[in-house]
Amino acid sequence: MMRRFQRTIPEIDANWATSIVFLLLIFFVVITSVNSDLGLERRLPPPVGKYAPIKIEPRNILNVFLTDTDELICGNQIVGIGELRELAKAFISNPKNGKELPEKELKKIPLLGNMFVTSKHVISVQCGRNTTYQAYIDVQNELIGAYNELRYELAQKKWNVKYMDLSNDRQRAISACYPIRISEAEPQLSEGGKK
Amino acid sequence: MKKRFTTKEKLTIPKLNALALPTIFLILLFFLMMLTNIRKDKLQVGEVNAPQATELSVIGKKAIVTTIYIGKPAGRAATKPRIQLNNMILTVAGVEAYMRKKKATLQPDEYSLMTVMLKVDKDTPMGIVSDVKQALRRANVLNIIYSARHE
Repeated sequence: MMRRFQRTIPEIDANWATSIVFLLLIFFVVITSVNSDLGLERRLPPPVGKYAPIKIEPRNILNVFLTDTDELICGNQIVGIGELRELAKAFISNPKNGKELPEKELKKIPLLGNMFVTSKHVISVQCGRNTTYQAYIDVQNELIGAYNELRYELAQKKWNVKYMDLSNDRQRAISACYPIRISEAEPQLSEGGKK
Repeated sequence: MKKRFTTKEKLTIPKLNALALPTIFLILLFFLMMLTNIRKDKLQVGEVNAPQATELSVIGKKAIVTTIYIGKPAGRAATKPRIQLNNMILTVAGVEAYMRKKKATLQPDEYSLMTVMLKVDKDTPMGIVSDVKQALRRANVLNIIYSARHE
């Protein structure tokens, strides 16, 4: 009769593995960076000369200007950065169909039917050459925020769903109601005209 | 009575099972590898501090991204901001030439996917940024993303 010996497996020393894996971990922390591909998406206007400049009625344009000292001028008055969003929202949506604000156009939008859209409005953002980048991004952020809030409100009203949770078709329909029309013109020469 | 105090010497700490530690570190390591990406370009324009914003969106998956860094080189506070693209310091005209060259290597239906990521330091004056934007416009690369981080 065969007899099996019971063997005991010796304990494995894992301390070396700890050190090596820990070293690898530190190495990766040093050589990599956190994925930071976040940002504000914008589309530039087509090259100069390709299309004839369109004449825009005064009521359809909102001038936003940033001076060299980061002061914000909206229309003709100096405003704080906090007020810009509300101003832009009123301008884009024109809720009371005011004469001063952009004209509305009846448009047929799939899934939503006939909607009044301020399809000709333009928000013109201009800045001086010495405006800081942070101030410019603040303005862009507020304007995109205004569009996002309007879209969010419409999505809530129509389907009682958050805009982000809508299906692609519905998102497209909502964004067609509030098309983003921000014009990024060349900066004006600052005092002294240095380039 | 005396013996009561001498028993202390017999106490030993049991051996720790260290096998769990490398496992945990390995999990951490894989987690980190998925979360981060290796820096491809060596920054030559100093540390680029992205501006802060709230309405951020993620870059599209299919986009063909070119990253342009604009910032002031470290150590030389008085110098003008510079433009960096793929480990090269370029002028505004150089950016336009590069984008045209890159465009020539692509298929026509890929043109609309070309996106430029502008990683600009938050204290940069807008002048140079606008110059770059005009150069991109002339090269007909119109999708841009202003890199920013959450507040």
